Amino acid sequence: MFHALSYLDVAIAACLVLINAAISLGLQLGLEKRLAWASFRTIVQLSLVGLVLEKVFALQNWLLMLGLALMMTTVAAWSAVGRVEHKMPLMKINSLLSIFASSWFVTAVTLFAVIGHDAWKDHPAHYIIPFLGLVLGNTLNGISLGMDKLGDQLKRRRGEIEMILSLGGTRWEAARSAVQNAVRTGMIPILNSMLVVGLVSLPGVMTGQLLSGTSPIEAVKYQIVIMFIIAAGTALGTISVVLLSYRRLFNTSHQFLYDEIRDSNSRSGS
Amino acid sequence: MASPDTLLEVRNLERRTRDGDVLLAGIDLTIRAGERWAIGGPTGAGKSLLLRSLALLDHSEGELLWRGRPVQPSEIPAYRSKVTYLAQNVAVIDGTVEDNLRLPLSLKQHHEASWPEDRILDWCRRFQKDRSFLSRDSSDLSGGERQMVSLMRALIIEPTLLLVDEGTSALDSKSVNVFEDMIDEWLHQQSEDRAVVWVTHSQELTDRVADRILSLEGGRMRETVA
Repeated sequence: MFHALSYLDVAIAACLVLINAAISLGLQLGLEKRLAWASFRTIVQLSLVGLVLEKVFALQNWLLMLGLALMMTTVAAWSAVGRVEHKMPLMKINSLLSIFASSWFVTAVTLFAVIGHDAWKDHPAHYIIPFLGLVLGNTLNGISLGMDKLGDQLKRRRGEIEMILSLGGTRWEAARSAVQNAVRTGMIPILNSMLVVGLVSLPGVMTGQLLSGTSPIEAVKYQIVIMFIIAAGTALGTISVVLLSYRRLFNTSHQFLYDEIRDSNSRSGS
Repeated sequence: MASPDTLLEVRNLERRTRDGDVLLAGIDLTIRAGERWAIGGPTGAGKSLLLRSLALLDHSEGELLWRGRPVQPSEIPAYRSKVTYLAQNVAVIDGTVEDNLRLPLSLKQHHEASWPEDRILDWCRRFQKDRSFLSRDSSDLSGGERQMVSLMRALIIEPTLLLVDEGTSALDSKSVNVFEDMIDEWLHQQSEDRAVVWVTHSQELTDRVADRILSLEGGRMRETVA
């Protein structure tokens, strides 16, 4: 059932990027360089991942898996805050702590409580790395959106926050509305995905399983599990990073450290 | 030892920027019950910063004693409900004027306080506003109306020391008088236990509302006039 692609097949698909290039040239969008760079990175990054995973899957070595998992987590944490407009103190550390705790926790719950150790004990890398990657990729988005919203809210609502503090409000009472908005924003994309999943598009994992010959019912079961672990990971990661940032920006003297929020000077492209 | 009528005492108050530049330095101030202070000085002298520091809204160095003892971090919300700062640029929350006036009562610190409807309607009337003012959307308020809301919102929680930062800058002269009268009445209701500090550029306002004056220049005390 499964049809392996040749390098020529991949090259033909890659040529589709010429459509993007033609549109960019035709409408003078000026995206050609970025398109070339993005295409190059897509090929190089995925090829490298393929090579690394070949090795990791072949060896099933725990140390190697741990190293790869840590590297994926760190890159996700850094990427999550890389494009956040308002820089906050210890943002990268907060992002790392949040994405690490949330993603590793839900991945562990999935592997031990949902799938069960027996199913993957002989080839752990086949399960740990893909599940962790899925959770990281989505939690990263939640953290990024949550942090962006938090910075925006705190910047725009300084007067309101300090007014509440001035009237005897605690730091939590002053920050609560901004925190709620930030967490809500971080969780909206996954909630939207859950509403339309299967109706608008078939998710990647399910598509992959269908292509490899798994029955649709089995593929759906996996996809349901994945949607819920992604939702849990995103919720935990977003609330964790927003609360850590809140504690850095509101000290125990119930003061709002507004000056600690800095605008990002450079917003380079990917 | 502070005298029994001493409300707030600051010694050698100092505030610097992150780079170490002096914003406030060597501020000594004792505010006693019944006193009406005005803080004057040129733009950038540090008047608002001093008021914010007295409200413990910013971190500053030096000694601050409330009724003779330092304020612990956990006591700061309670302290601010007694030493209440009215900002120059009044912030309002989304909703109506009434939502804004009820805001302090929703805070843990004031959850036992009740909604003083009669007093609020009286304050509105004095500002030439009828009951419909309470239903107005806060986003439609003018700068002067926001300053009215700011004063009423603070008086609801019955503070001990009011810190008023250019509180009447957007009001017409009639409303300025009402604003000052309301503060005077609030002060005289319990003058043995209340005081007010105004920050202002206006010498006329200072002459009307203050009997003690602190002048600042470059973040330092220039003179204190009793």
